[in-house]
This record gives sequence, structure tokens and C-alpha cells, in this order.
Amino acid sequence: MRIKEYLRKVEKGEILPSKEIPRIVEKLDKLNEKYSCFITLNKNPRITSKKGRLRGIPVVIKDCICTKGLRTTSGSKILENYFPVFNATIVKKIEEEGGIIVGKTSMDEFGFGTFCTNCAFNLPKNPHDITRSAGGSSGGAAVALAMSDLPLLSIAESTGGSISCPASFCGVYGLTPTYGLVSRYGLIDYSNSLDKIGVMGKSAWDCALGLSVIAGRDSNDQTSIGEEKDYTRFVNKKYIEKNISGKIIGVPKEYFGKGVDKQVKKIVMNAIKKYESLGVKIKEISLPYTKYALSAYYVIALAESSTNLSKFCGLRYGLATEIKGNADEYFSSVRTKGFGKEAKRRILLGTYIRMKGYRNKYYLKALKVRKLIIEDFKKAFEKCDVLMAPTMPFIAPKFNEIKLLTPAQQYASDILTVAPNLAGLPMINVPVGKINGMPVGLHIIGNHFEEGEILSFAGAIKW
Amino acid sequence: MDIEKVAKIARINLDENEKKEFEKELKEVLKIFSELEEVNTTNVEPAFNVIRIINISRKDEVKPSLRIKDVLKNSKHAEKNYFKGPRII
Repeated sequence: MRIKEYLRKVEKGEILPSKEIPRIVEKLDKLNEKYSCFITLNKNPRITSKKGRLRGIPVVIKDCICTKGLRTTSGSKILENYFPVFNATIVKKIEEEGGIIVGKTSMDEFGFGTFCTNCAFNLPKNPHDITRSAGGSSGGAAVALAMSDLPLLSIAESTGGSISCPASFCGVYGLTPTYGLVSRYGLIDYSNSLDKIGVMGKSAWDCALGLSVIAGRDSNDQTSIGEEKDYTRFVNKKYIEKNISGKIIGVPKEYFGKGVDKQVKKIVMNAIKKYESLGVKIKEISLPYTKYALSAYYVIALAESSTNLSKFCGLRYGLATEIKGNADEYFSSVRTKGFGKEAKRRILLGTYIRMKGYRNKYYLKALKVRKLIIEDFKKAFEKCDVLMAPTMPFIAPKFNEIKLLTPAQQYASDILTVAPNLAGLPMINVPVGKINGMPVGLHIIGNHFEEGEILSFAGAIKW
Repeated sequence: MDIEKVAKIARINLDENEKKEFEKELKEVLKIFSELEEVNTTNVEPAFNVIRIINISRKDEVKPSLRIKDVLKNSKHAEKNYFKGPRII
């Protein structure tokens, strides 16, 4: 059942959330045995009778977002027994609108990964083929939607593509908003200048509804600058018919280059061409600094994450061992025990590039390259309204294929998602086709705060 | 690359095998990062943030905060109203 229908039935009294939610949780529990998309399933959710925009809707939350009294691990052993004593702002907003938090979805440790294989706990499996990756890092968030037809809303988070990638691999819609549109108070941070909380759903409308609830300025997050808006109107059929004709889609040639699977290119190109029937023009454009986005992204993300993760030292929360030795020895022993391999790798890399003598060479340089990448996009948006490209260069790979990749090869898989994430642009994955049963995603990228525009395009065609 | 020095600053202990493995992987990644040197960034301002963020300040008013009991709830080494830590000096 779709959320829209569920809401209608709740409204009419045909569905009673107090009866339906326990049934849904039971189904999720069963499905979780096969697909491992939850780190914690909330078996006794607080069912409110609030009559908000999410009245009675089951909502799942990526495990890096704090939920009061409900275990929040961020996919790491170091937070295995962490029970937040406060709610993230978006959780508070969801509950105020009648949404019911039913589970915390699995993820790469702290969001460190493209394939959701760097997990301290559950390794989610792709519902289209369980021998394949769900995509990372919000893998569980996408699997929870794709594994059934339950009317779920899924809250995810992206730093460099962690919403788009799993949405593409699992064949669901995944919206990453403009940096700053959604409050991050209560998010266990990865990289402060890049992290964005977003929404996954089974349609553009679902994403629009979720975004309408979570967007907006928050006095607890000084970087939040978004305004509250009803985004569902942008996916209204009449609105789309009236507004989309005459718009220009920019197709960046660099996003169809080497390394992108031929069949993926073909499916995505055909999908883009379909928009012509709506009176939309297609224009090839160039984003010349694309080549450097991957390095710039990883330098910034690693530098920031290595400082963010310094708070995990066995004192105020998280894993603690017996207090022995001096401070350095104690902190080191906790961190060595608590962090997984990829987390250690990223902390070491991030620490190195911030060290005296290297800071200018790597970190400051990457920030300057980011500026050029942002300008690339700004110039493109002078000529077109949205950009379209493949979301991921290939379909979800098999777990045994991923094992053979070096860390550098794994990082390179993010080539199509890192640039718009670096620039803080809004983007949405739209499932537009399949290769051998595996979903292929179209990426629609908009200018800052143009969520309405990309939602209109995402909702304009039924795939 | 002095992997031992980096690990010490990062407060992470590595065994001999890990040192070798990480050093190799890190070098490979850093080699890729050095491609950034090709980009001419003369007179380019670093983008610490992607969009202009206006300084948001709030009134300096006392508001209810978390209870001490709750704040200490997730700490294994809480004692009385304090977090207990290792010796610093």
C-alpha cells in the first residue's frame, strides 16, 4: 500500500494505527531476518493519535540520528549501547506530525562506505538479489522500503552520496536536500560541511511529504537556514503540467564518460529523452572540474570526520573500558577496540592531511577546488533548470565483487554523486529501469533550494 | 609517511600488520589526492561552506536543559555528578 492511500484510510477510520502498527512491526521483523535492514527494530513503538501530516505512518530512521530512549549506534561498536536522552529535531518534528518511529536502519559505520559492507552489525542485502549490495551508506534505509509494499517513510542521511547510491541500487526514490535545509541537531556527524538529512520513499510524493515535515530552520542548528514549505504541491499533476513545459535539462557530458556502464548510460539517456514529450528541452553541458571532485570530496570528508570522531574516547558516552594508564593510553585503548577498520582508515587519513605541512597541500587546496566545482554548477544553472545524469555508474555489485576492490577503487565508485554533494545541491534518485532485474537510477540535480523543481521533474513521469 | 606518528596523534593503536597494510593503502589514496595539485587555484577563496551562512544568534536566556542524571546515563564511569576520566597529569 502507498502512503497516500494509507493516510486516506487512517483519515476515514478504516485503518487504526494502534492495530496496524504492531502488525507492520511484526512483518518488518520477519523481513529483517532475510534482508538485515534494521540495527534496532522498535518493537513497542509509541503510537500517538496526533492528527498531523504523518498521522499513523510508520517511519524508519537511519541509525546515525538520535532517537530518545531508542538505541542509536551509527553502525559502530563504539556506540553499541548508546541510548540517546534527547530526540534529534527531525525526530521531534516527525512525532509531532503523528509519525511513528518503528526502527533504526543499518548503515556503514558512521556512514563510511559506498556499499554498506563496512557495518559493525547488520549487513543489509539488496531485496532484488540478496547476493548484491544495498548501496551505502544508508543501505538499510533503502532496503526497508524495497523489501515490501508496506507504507513506510524512510529518513536517511548523505555526506557524499549516501542517499542517492542505495536508492539507486534498491530502486527507490531518494531525496538529498540542499545543505542547510534540514536541521542536523541530533545527527551523529560525519563531515559537518557536507552532512545532509534527507528522505527516501516509494514515490516523489512520499519524499515531498517527508521533506515538508523535516525541513526548516532550527535554533539548535546554526547552519540550518531552510524555510518550511509544503513540497507536495510541486508533485501535483496540475502544477507539473503548468510549470515543466519550456524548462531546460542540462546533461553534463562528464557524467557519461569512461567508467559508466554502457547499459546504464543507455537506460538513463532514454529516460531523459522522455521529458521531451512534456515540452522540455535537453542541452548538453560541461562541468570541467568534475574530474577533481572525488579527491576534493574525500580530502574534506576525511579531514572533518577525523576531528568529529575524536569525541569517542570512552568518557561521556559510548564504549568504555577499565580506566588504566594515562589519558592517551586510555583513549587509544577504547578507540582501538571500538572503531572498525574503515573508520580507523579514515581517521588515519584525515589526521594525516590535517598535519602541519600537509594542511595547505591537501585540505585547503580541496576547499579551493570545491569553490571551483560550485562555480561550475552555478554556471550550468544559468543555462538550464535541472541537471540529469546516471546516479551510479553501475548496478549494485555482488558482495564477492566488492571484496576484491581496494579502498581507492571503492572510493572511486562515488564519482557521480560526490560533486553535487560537495556543492550542497539538492538531488533525487528516480528508479527508471532495470538491467537483469537490478534497478538503474536517474539522478536529477537542482540549484540550491530548488527541491520543488527536482521533485516536479521526478514526479512528472510514471516509470 | 610516518604511520606510527599519525596513529599516535589519532589515538589509535596499530599492530605491525595493520601498520604495513594501512601504510600501503593510505599511500595509494594520497597519490590520487595529489592530482589536486594540477588545478590552478590562484586567487580562489576556499569554500569552507557551500552557501553563505548568516550568523544566527539567540538571546542569552537560561532555558531548561538535560537533567544531570540523564547526561550521565550513557557513561560507564560516572561518579556523583561527574564524569570520571584517566589521569591527565
